[in-house]
Order: sequence, then structure tokens, then C-alpha cells
Amino acid sequence: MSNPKVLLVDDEEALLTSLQRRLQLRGFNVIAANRGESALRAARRQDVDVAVIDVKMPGMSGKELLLALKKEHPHIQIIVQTGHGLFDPRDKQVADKIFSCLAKPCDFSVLKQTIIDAYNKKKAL
Amino acid sequence: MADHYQKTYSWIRRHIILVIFLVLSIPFILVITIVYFTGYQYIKSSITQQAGFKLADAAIEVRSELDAGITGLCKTMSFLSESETMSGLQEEETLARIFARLEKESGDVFQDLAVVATDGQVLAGVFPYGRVYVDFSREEWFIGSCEDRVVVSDVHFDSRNNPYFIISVLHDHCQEQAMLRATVNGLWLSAFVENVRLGRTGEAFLVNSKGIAQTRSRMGKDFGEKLNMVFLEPQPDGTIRMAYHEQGVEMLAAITSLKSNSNWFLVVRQEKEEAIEDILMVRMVFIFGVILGVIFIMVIGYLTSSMLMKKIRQADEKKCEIDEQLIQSQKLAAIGQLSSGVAHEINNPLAVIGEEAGWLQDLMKDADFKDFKHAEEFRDSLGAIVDQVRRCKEVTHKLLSFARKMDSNFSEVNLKEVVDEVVEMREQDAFLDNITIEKVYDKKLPIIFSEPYLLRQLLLNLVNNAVDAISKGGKITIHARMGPQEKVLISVTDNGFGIPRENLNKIFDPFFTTKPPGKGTGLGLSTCHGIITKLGGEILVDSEVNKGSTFTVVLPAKPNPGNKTGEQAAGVE
Repeated sequence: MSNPKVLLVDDEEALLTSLQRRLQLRGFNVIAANRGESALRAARRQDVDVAVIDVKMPGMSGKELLLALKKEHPHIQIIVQTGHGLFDPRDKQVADKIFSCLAKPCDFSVLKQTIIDAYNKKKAL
Repeated sequence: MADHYQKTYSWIRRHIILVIFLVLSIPFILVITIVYFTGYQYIKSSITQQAGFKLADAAIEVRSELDAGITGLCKTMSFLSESETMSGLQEEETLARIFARLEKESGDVFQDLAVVATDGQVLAGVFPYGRVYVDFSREEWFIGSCEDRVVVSDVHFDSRNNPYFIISVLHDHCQEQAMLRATVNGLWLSAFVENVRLGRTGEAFLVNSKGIAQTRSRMGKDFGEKLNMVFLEPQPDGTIRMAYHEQGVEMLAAITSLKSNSNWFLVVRQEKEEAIEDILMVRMVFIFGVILGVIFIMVIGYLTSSMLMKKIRQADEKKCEIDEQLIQSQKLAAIGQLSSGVAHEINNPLAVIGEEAGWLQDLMKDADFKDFKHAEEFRDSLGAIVDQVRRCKEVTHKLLSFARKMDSNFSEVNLKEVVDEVVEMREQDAFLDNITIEKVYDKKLPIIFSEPYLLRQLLLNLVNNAVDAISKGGKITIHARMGPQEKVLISVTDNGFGIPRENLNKIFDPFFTTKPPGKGTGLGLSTCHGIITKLGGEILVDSEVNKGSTFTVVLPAKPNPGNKTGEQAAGVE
């Protein structure tokens, strides 16, 4: 199994770094971004398999980001992390574009497993 | 519940009673007045009239007796005088014989007998009482006798004050005129009327046209007494009916003149009060009616006001209840807002703490740490941090779901599957505590359109509570069934210690718990409340202390509007 390339997007720098470190330790290829815009740029530079996106961010919101990512890279798998009700996964606009929606803060093991599942799905495409 | 309105209630009550009394009293007084001045007075006058008729009847009866008596005397005298010649009459012997016959025929009525010439001189006479009359020419009866054949005089008194009256009969045989004159005992006359009895106050007596009493009466009239009487026009039957006052007492009288002596009037009278005592009955009925009316008004007033008060009280109680519910839901909403805000703010730091601890744990697995002497303590400590973060996370997640801000995903849900899943999760623990969980499914359970995750959490919370309510050994029944009006009912029944009444309205409050500190967050049922509101259903509680509780979740059974395969027969266990 090749290493999945994961794009982590969160405005909480501390969380971003610790998650990045932990995922990298487990062999994931992690790109961290604290803004939607920079995440989009990073995705253009490298081929990203799975994007883990926080919903509420300054500047570009998680929803805008995922729509933009999906538009530019149709095969990218999106995992949304949310801590509030602003994001509705049943929204017709996004419902078929996200792989999973996780409540924040979520168990590291759950996150890891979800990323692996998403990667497997992408590979199967 | 609405006791603080007591003052207002008494005020309202007083006013209602007052208004009802006024409203009922005014027409009542009007009716009473009308009845009094028409009906009652009419009855009174007709009773008065009846009494008048009664008196008149009595008067006519007594009059005919009197007439018969006096006429009888007159006829006897006429007969005797006609049967004798003038000269015969003038003989004392013949006269004495006639007198004897008179006495024999009519008892001790005649007191003396005389033959009087047309000039008033006594020609002959029988005077047992020793009276001697010389000249009658100036006496009233004599003047009358010259004009009429038979004359009956007024009552006079003799020298011994005995009452008497005179009957004189004109005798004219062969141009010779003389008068047969007899004195009749007044007591005989009086006896006709004295014995007339009419109730307690009724009496009869004779009076002449000048108002002089001619007889005694039962009530104390005496011969020769001057009476103050006014005579009116007679009625068709010859009687006069009248009412008058005597010594301040109202009297009812019937007056009729005698046929045998038109100068005499028979008076039959009675105190009006007694004569019309039938009116007492009417009056009593009338007064009884008035009292009954007053009682009726009071009862109606009382009942109506009581009824109104009851309604007002009920309305107030209902209002209080609704107010309380409103406050409760507002309270829940406010707490929800606050706690979800707090949960949000804590979520990110919590995530960082968790991930950092996790990172350290990762590092600890590195071989470099094999020789680190505190490695074991570090691991324990980090494990504890991760555990506590997880615990905090649970709280914030519950808070968020209570505040209905958790993301959700509505889909088709097979109730049986959800219940099975939930029971499976808790079956092991329950078994250890000797608690059996029984599942009862209706044969036809529809596939409902709901949120499986929230529904699972809801049922899990209820089952957890049920398990906690049973300390050791007991039974939990989960019953899923169709309810009326397209509703699905899922009830979780335990036979645990129940919920005291005073706690029933607090159980859905966040952070309300009866579990020992650290054991319960007090968020279980408030989360259930939040979930059920989100799912568009309701939750009902029925609990009895020491008997157990039943929580019933009512969910709409209608399937996804956009899905055609709505209803399917659920499996039967």
C-alpha cells in the first residue's frame, strides 16, 4: 500500500501540527494548511488523495474549499470535520461530494481509519 | 397553583354575586309588585265580595225567620179581631179569652191586649202586668194604625225597663172602627237575632231607621242603643252590603229591611278581618312564593358564582401550567445556547490537548524511551490525559446535541434494527446486574424516516437510565408499536425506583441528576429532549416511586416524502 497523501486544513495551528506529526508517524504523507486558499494552492502543486477540512475558518470556508477542490480534482476524497451546526452534510450542493463528516474533536483512531477508508475508495475509482 | 389570586377571586366572587342578585332581583321585585297589585288585590276583593254574599245570605235567612214570626203574630191578632164583633171585643171577658188563646198559641210573647177607639181611648184591655193606658192618641203606632191595617211599632221600654213593641190591628166591622193593640215582649224579638252565629265576630241585630237598636246582639248591643249607621241603596235582593269602621275595626255588613216592618233593618255583620280570613291562605302562599323566590335567587347566585369561579380558577391553573411550560422551554433554550457556545470554545483546545497527548504517546513508543526511568509513569499519565479528554469530549458532544447543533443525517430507519443495536450495546452490563431486557415489537412496524444516529443515542440514553434505575435484578421492557394518528411509539419501561413527583418537571433540565457526582452528567434526558424535538416527536414520562418508570417516545411514522418504498413490514422476532 502506497502512502496516502493527506491534505489537512484547520485554522487551529496547534491541532494542525500535532495531527500532522501523528499522521506522519503512521506513514501518511501529510500536507498542512491553515487557510482554504493555501490548501487550494497546495492541492494544485501536489496530487492529494484525501482532504480533511475544518468547516469554520477565516477567509475561505470549509464548504467553499471543498467545492473548489472537488471542482479542480474530481477524484479527491473529502472528510469534513465540524464542531457546530453551520454545516449541513445533507445539503444538496455537498451531499454527494463528501466522503464523511466527523464531529470535532474526533478520536484519532477514527480519523485515521476514515482516512484509510477514503483512500481505498479513491484507489478503487 | 393559583393561590396567590385568592384575593382577586374573593373580589370577583363578591361582584358576581352582587350583579346576579341585582339582575335577578329587579325583575323579581317587579313581578312581585305586579302580582301584589293585580292578582292579590283582585283575589282580596273577590273574597271580600264572597264574604258580603255570605253575610247577605245569612241576613236574608234571619229576615225570613223574623218576618215569619212577626207576620204570624199579626195574622193571629187579625184573625182573632175579625172573628169577634166590636161589642164583643169591648167585653173584658171576651178580651181575656182572646188573650188566653193568644198566649196559648204563641207562648209568653204577648204581654197585654187592649181595644182602642179611633180617638185613642182605651175601650177595654187585659193588663196582666198592671199597666194602665189612658190615651194612645199621641203615640206613634197609633198614628200609623189610623193609616194602615196592621202596624208594628218600634221597641219601647215599660216602667220596669223591659223592652216591648206593639202590634195593632185595625178592626172595622160595620163602620165601627177600633184597634186591637197588643204588647209583644222585646226579648222574643231579640231571640231571633241573638242566636245568630257567624264565626267569632259575626252578629245580627235589628235597628230602626233612626239607628236605634231594636234588639240585643251577641256582641253586646242592647235595646235602645243609638248606633251610628249609614244606610245605602239596597241591592237587587233587598240587601245592602257595606264596609265601615266601628271603633277602629273594619266591619263588613249586610243590611236588609224587614218586610213585616219596613222601619226595621236587620244588620248582619262581621269583622272584615275574620270575614275574609280565606285571604290569609292566599297571603301565605304569596309570602311563601316571595321567600321561595328569594331563596332561589340566592341559590342561583351562589351556584353561578361558584361555577364561574371554578372556570376562572381552572383557566388560571391552565395558564400557570402553560406559563411554566413556556418558562421551561425558554430555560432549556437559553441553557442550550449557553452550553453549545461553551462546548464550541472548548472543543478546539480539547482536540489540541488530545492530539498532543496522543503525539507524546506515539513518541513514547520509540525505542529511545526504553531506558527512560519514568517511562511507565509517563505512559500512565498520558493515558489518563487522553481518557479525561475523551470524557470531556463526550460532555461537549452531548451538550451540542442537546442544543440541536449536531449535524445529522435523516434517512430510512428500521426501528427494530435500532432497538436491537441499542439493546446489544447494554445487554452485557445488564446481564451482569441480573437485569433482563425484553423487546416487544408490533408485527407491522413501518420503516420511518428519521436520524439513526440520534435515535440510537436517544434510546441508549433511555436504556442507560432504566438500567441505572434498577440497582440489581429487574426487568426492562422495550415496546415498539404503531400508535394512533400515524405515530410510532417506543416505550422503555423499567421496574426501578421511579421518579418522585417533585422531580418530574426537572428531569429534562440540563445538569439535573440524582446520580452521585461523577456518575452522571445530568445531560442524558436533556439530550433526549433535544433529539426528540429535532426528530419532530415528543417524549412522555409516566413514573411511580418504587414501581418504576415508563418513557415513551412518540415519533412521526410518515415515510420519506421523496421515497416510494415507504412502508415495509418489519421483521418479527
